[in-house]
Order: sequence, then C-alpha cells, then structure tokens
Amino acid sequence: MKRSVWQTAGLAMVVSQGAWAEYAYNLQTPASKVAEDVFQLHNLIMLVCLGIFVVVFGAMFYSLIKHRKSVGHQAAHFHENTTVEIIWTVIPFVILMGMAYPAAKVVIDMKDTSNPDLTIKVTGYQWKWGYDYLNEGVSIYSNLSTPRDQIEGKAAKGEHYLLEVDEPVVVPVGKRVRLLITANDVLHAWWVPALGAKQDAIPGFIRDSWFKADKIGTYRGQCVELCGKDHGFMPIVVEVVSEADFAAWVAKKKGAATTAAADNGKTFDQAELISRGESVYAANCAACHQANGMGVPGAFPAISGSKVATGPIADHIGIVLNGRPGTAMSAFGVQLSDADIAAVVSYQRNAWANKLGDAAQPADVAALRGGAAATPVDAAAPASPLPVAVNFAVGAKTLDQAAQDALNATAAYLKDNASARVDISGFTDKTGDPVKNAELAKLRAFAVRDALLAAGVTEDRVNLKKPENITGSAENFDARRVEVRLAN
Amino acid sequence: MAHDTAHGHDDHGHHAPPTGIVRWLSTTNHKDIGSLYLWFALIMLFAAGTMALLIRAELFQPGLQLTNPDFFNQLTTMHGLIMIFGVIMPAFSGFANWQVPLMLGAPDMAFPRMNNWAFWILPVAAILLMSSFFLPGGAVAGGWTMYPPLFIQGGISYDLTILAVHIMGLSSIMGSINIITTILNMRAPGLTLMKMPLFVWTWLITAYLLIATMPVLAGAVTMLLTDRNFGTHFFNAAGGGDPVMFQHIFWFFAHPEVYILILPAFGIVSQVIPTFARKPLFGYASMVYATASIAILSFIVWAHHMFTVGMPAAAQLFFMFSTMLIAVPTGVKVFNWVATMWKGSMTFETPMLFAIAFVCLFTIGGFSGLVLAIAPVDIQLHDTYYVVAHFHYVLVSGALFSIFAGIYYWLPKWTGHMYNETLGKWHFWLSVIGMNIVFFPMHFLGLAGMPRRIPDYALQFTEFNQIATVGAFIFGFSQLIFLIVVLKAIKGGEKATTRVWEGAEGLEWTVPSPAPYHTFETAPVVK
Repeated sequence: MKRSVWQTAGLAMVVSQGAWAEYAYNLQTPASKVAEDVFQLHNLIMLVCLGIFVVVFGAMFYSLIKHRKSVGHQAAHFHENTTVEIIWTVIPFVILMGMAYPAAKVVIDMKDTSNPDLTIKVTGYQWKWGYDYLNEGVSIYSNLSTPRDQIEGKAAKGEHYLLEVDEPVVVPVGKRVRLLITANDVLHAWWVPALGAKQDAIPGFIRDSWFKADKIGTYRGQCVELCGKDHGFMPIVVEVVSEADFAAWVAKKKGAATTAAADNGKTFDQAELISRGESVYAANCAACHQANGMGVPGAFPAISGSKVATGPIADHIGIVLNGRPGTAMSAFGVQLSDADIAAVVSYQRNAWANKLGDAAQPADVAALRGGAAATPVDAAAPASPLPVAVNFAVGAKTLDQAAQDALNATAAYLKDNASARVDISGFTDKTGDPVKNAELAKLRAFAVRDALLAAGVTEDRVNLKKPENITGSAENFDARRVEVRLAN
Repeated sequence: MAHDTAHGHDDHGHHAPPTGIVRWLSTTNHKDIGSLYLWFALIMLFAAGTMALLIRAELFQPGLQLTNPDFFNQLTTMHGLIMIFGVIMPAFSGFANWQVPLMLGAPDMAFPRMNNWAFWILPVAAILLMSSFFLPGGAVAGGWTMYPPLFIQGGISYDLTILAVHIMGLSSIMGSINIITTILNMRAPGLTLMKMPLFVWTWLITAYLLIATMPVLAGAVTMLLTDRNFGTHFFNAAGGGDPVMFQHIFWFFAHPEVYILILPAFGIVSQVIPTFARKPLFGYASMVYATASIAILSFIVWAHHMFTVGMPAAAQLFFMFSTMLIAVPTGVKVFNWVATMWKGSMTFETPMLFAIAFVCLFTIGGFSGLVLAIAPVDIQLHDTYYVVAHFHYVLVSGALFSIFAGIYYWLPKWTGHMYNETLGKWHFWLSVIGMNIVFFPMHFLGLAGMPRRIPDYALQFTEFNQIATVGAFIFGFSQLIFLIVVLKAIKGGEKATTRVWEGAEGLEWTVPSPAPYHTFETAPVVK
C-alpha cells in the first residue's frame, strides 16, 4: 500500500511517462528482510517529507500569489509570535520521534550478525574482490568480465555491462550469510542493494555484515568507496542458489583447487608459461601497467623495458610476490598460485621490448615465497619470521593460505638455521565450553605441527606446549590462534 | 609640529590609494579586499564549473569517451576541493569584508593588514592546487575527503594539495579572527548584539566554527603528510594506526564545515526576504538561537558520514538521533522565512527570486538530508548519487543561490549602478531550471543503485544521466549571463539611489551608492 502511493508520486516526477518502465526511480526490489525494512522505512520518511513540503510550500506559494505588491497587498507589521514559534518547534520534534523508533529497530537488526549458517571472508583488492568460504575451504577471486572493447565503445554493450564477473559469489537461499569484510590495499565497500548489505572494507581491520537472501536469483552490486583508478570497474555478483546446487558448487570448486595445486608441482615449457601468463597479466596487471606494458607515466610504471622485468629473475618474482608497500602494487603472492606467478613473470620477461628468452617455473616461485623473496637468493640469510601467530575462524582447525605461507616461511627459516627449534601453543577465544575449547586448542596446535612436518621440518625440532585457552586479546579473531616461537 | 593641522590631518588619513596592480596587492581597504575575494571566487567558479561539465559530458552515455578513469577521478576531486575552498568560502568572505563594516557602522575591519594577507595567500593555494594538473601523475585523484590509504598512494600533487589545504585553512583562520574582532569591538554606538543584522550574526557564528575546526583539518592533513613522507603510521594498520581514525578527525572538521558553507547563506537570505516582503524578519531572536543551535549540534553529528564503516549499534543510534535533531532548528528557520513573506507586500526582483528558490530548494536538500540521517536508509544510499543530489541541493541551490541573491542585492550599493533586471531574470530562470534538471534525477540514480565517483555506469542508469548532463550544460552556460550582468553594472547603467530598494533597512543603505572608499569614519548612532 505504502509502496503504491510512493510509486504514484514517483510517476508524476518522471519526465517521460511513455518510457517509464525504463526509468528506475526507487530503491531496487528488496530480496532480503533487511532490504525490505529499509525500503518501507524510506517510503515512510518520503511520505512524511512530502506532507510537510506540501503544507509549508503550499502556504508559501499562497503568500507569493496573494501577498504581492502588484495586487495591492499592504504589508502587515508583525514580526514574532511566541505561541506559533513554540508550536513549530515542538511538532517537528514529535514527528522525528515517530521516525526514530522504527529506524532504531532496523539499525539493531542490521547489526546482529550472530548465528550465521555460512561465513564468507570478503577482501577488497585494487580492483577485484576475493572471497574465502571459511568453513568450506573454497577461495575465489571475482574480476570484472565486461570486455575492454565494450568499455571503449568498440563493441556493443551487453545486458549486464559493468555488472558482470568471471566468478560470482554463490550462496544458498534462505541461509544467514555472515560476511567478514576487509581490504588488502585501500578502502573499498561491498554493496549489493537488493540484499541490503553494505559495509566498508578497511585494510588491517575486519568488519562484519550479513544478509539472508529470500529468493533464488542473481543480485548485482558495485564497490562504493573510491578506491582509485578502477573504482567503477569492480562489481559484485551474488548468485543465490538452492542448497543442493550450493553443495555441488563447493565440490566443483574444491576439485578445481586440487587441479590448480597440482600445477604448482609441474614444470612447464616456455611457450605454455607465456600463453598462460598473458591471460594472468590481462586479469591482474593490465589495469595499471596497461596491455602494452607501458604503464601510465607518473602513476604506474612501465614493465616493457623496466629494470625489474629485465633484471635478475628472482628480484622480479619477489616484486610480484610481495608488492611494493605504499603503492598500488599489491602482494600478488596471496592472490595467485605459484604456477600463475611463474607464468606472468615469464610473460612479462618475453613480451613487448623485453625479449629475454628466460622463464620462471612454479618451483622458483615456491622457493622465494615467505618474505625472503625480495632479497636476491645469494644475499644474506632471511630474517627470522618468528614469533608468528596463525589465526583460525570460529571453531575451525584448518589452516588458511596466510597461515600456510607463514608456516612455509618458518620451515624455510628452520632449514637455514639448523640449530633452531620452535615451541607451538594453541589458543581459543573465551566464548564457549572450556573443555571443548581446550580440545580445539590442542587440535589447532596439531594442525600447525603437521603443516611444519609436511614442509620438511623434522619432528625433534618441534615442541608442543600444553594446550591453553587463555586469551590476551579482546579481539576474538586475534585470540583464535596458534603461536610459534623460537625455543630456548 | 611645523605644519598646520589641516595638512597634518591629510597626511595621516587620506593618502590617495596607489593605482594599478599595486593598489590591489597592497590594499588594506575592506571594500577592495571584499571585491578581491569575490572576483577570486568567480574565477574559481568557472574553473571548477568547467571540470563539472567535463564530468557530466563523460557521463552523458555509458562507456569511456572523453576521459580515462584516472583523469575522471582528478576532475571529481578537484571540482569538490575548489568549489568548497575556492568558491563558496571565499565568496562568503567577500560578502563579510564588504558588508560587516558597512552593517556595523565601522570604518574598516579590525586588522586591515592581516585582512590583506588572509586574501593574498589564497591565490597561492589555488595555484598549488591547479598547477598539479600539469605534474607527472596529474592532479590529486583521491576524492576531496582525502581518505587514506588511497591518499597515501598518490604522487607529488597529493603533497601540494595538503600544502594548499594548510594555506587555505590559515587564510580562513585569519579571516575569522578579523571578523570576530570587528563584530565584537567595532559596532556603532547603540548597535547591541541583538540588534545586529542577521547576516552579521550568522558570520559571527561561522567564524567561531572556522576557528574551532580548521586546526582539526590541519592536524588531519599533517598526519597524512607525515604518513606519506616521513614513515609514520597514523592511518596504517600495519604500523598500529587506523584508516578510520582519519575519517573521524576529518568529519569532525567537515561536518561543521558544511554549516560554514550554509550559515552565511541563511544570513544573506534573511536580509533579502524582509527587504522585498517590505516586512521585518519574523522571529529574529529565534533565528539567532536556531543558528547557534545548528552550530553547536554540528560538533556531535560527524559520524553520520561514516555509517558504513561498521560502528557499534549504540554509536549508530547516537549519531542518527543527534543528526535528526538538526531538522528542528533548520525547520524553525524555514518557517520564519515563510512567515516573513506571509502578509507582506512582495515584489520579485532577482535577489528575491534567488532567495525564494533558496528557501524552496534548500528545503528539498534538507529533506534528503533527513532521509540520509536515518542510519539504515543511509547505509543503503551512502556513496551513491543520492548523496550527490543531496549535497548539491544544499550547496548549489543553497549556498550558491544565496551568493547570487546577495550579489544582485548589494551590487547597486557596490557599483553605484542598477544591474540589468531582464538579464538578471534570465540568469535566475535558466539557473533554477537547469539546476533542477541536473540534480533532481540524481536522487533516482542513487536510489536505483548508481555509486558516486564512477566514470562509467551500467546501462539502466543511462536515461537519467543524459537528462542530468543536458541540465548541467544549461546551468553551466547560463552563468555567463551572470558574468555579463556584473560587468555591465560595473561599467554603467541606471544610477542607484542611496536606499536602492524600497524596503531596505540597515546602516549600509545610509551611505551613498556607490559606497565611498572610506565610510563611517565617524560612527553613526543607532537608536
């Protein structure tokens, strides 16, 4: 009912009624309860505003017509009236109180991220989104899939121009999805209007939001916090599917991850690397360094003919792995597999003016992972990565990529320092059953130990400390950890 | 003393002012400095307006046609910075310089030499800002809000921008000290605070806001500068800092800044409407209290610009309620203006037309502000074109229209000639129609989900963007009429009387038109 009144009002404002279906003039059709609440709240406030506007400016325009000199109206001389002034201070106050109550209810509902059925960590990058399904162990990156030609006007624009991605986020219908939102480089903001979820992504901090999609379908949104050059080109697409389809999707993604991991252990010939590298370059590098490798003078350096891309290959891999702090060059080591990094480095060293003829293999990248890569291989031994804290999702005892990287660095350090040994202690946060927590802390420590053993560290160099669940931090995310320290 | 008294008197008080450029560089006369501020603002209006037209031209259709994304971000950033710090603020300072001494019956500002300095550092800041377009990497492209870490990434122009902001802040602080001292110490005998024209009251409160908040901005940008160049980590989580802290500090400055940009507008409109309604301002005392309430509230609402950073529910509720409260004193002002018109004897010269458009259209901006005050709705609309529509309704049809109203209103006093009323009306109608065609559709774009600060957009946003672009060109080019009106009035035209307007009240209307170079050397007595 409220909506139809507003639609009538909106219709009157639309310039061309004939083409009215093409004009989107109100909030998108809600697909979640929060979005529906926001929609109703907005309608309510619009109606109140419209009412006040009509009354106040009805009076003003009446006055403009009747109380003009040209119709001979003589000016009155009143200039205050305490009663009237009190009335028009109190009435708006009462109206505002009436608005505040329903608004407050929605605020509290939006902030309640408890009891999720599914938790996804969302990471904003310049300029794409990364999604980690914390319990399912699936990680994807989501890039704009609109071809360059459409943006530059060389091809007709598709139906979902700028609102389409290569890898959409897939979620099950009717489930509470909690988003843990952060960023890798600068501020971004994750927004899908129809789901009513918007949250800034802040580098170094995790904020949460949630939604529960009511209907199966595809919902589109965009980054809404200015994040540099391609801010307008990092859309968000959420596919809401049935629970069975979601399970199938997870299984498929896990299979794909296994294949990708297998690539890291292979050796490729140069042509294979270059052709694979070209597509990795287009998806990850071309936005700044440009498809022709020339960069943007003063903003993004050229790769064609650059010192890095024609210098020692280890340095080149190091820059790609670790990025350049304080610039838009992010650390691609956390985003790309060893095989993809080897491919893109090989491509860059052989494309454009760089006809070096060499190539990098996944094993070269693996050897440089873990913070030591920026230093040439023959230089001083890498600094100690210890102590290190590896964090876990709620209830989880599996290691994510960041954890795996940190442990690989630890293993590499132990390899270089034959006398060093480490202590491992597991922790949980304070919430929940203490007995279960103690067990979980132990299992987490075991997971870390197993990862170190798998990375080639012998068992005698790893001490398991007694399980602990006492936390030193107010932040639960920081508390759910395993600490690895040098043993005395 | 060897010479006679008359000669001695001449030597002390009435040197003929130097001529040519030296006159303007060395002037300490409040009228000269007022004119300098206003010319500076006009030049900057055309510069930043050209950027706006480039932005609108790029957005006429989907796809990238005229700009690349990086240059587009430079345009939006510079358009915002220049319109705020280079147009609206200097224009209001120009009005203050011309009108505050005339309205108070004071011979000049309290600190004439500082007044000169406060103006002449402004062009330096403008040159620093504008020249960065020609530096490697181009002008600053991180948004006028300068949020880190994006602002940490940029090139040399980002440092120049920080320096320019420092200089403009310094200029504002010096100007404010001058205005406060003049108002508190140099009123004509009998002119008590509660008899001051409302324009003077609004500027007094604005000046306090400037002094309170400009140092906060200076602190914030200094931290940016050291983060960029000297390895500090105020806003870098990896070093123990917090990017959101910048936003808190910035908006603690920038929300009061919003009222710095609108309170003098309230003042101008409160002078114009009574004149053309031929009826005293309704609720003078409540206008003063409402202005002060808005100023005080402006310090406790800043985080409503940050509802999406992920504050706790309690903080969201506090900032939502405090923001909604601002509607009460703002409403009082609108009701008072309408009540002033009620049962008046109105005529509709150009200043009055702009003032009426101000009341009506500013209120639309106020209503969209109320919509945005509701935290859940704001979360949906934050960083969309709805916000762009909102702040252009308050800054274009609010601040800028009040400036037009003020210029038309006082131009006869300043130049001694009436402006061309026909051209003035053309300027008004084209501006008011153009302005609504540009900015009204942006409400719909924002509601439908178009983010702000994007150079290219999805196809469903095409129609309203095209309408907006057409409106922008109408609005932009009609400002050339304004330039012609001003130039014509300076060159000649019908002689203005001392009173100028039939219903004009106040000390500035007791001096001849044009106002002599020195006025009120003997203070008038107000009964």
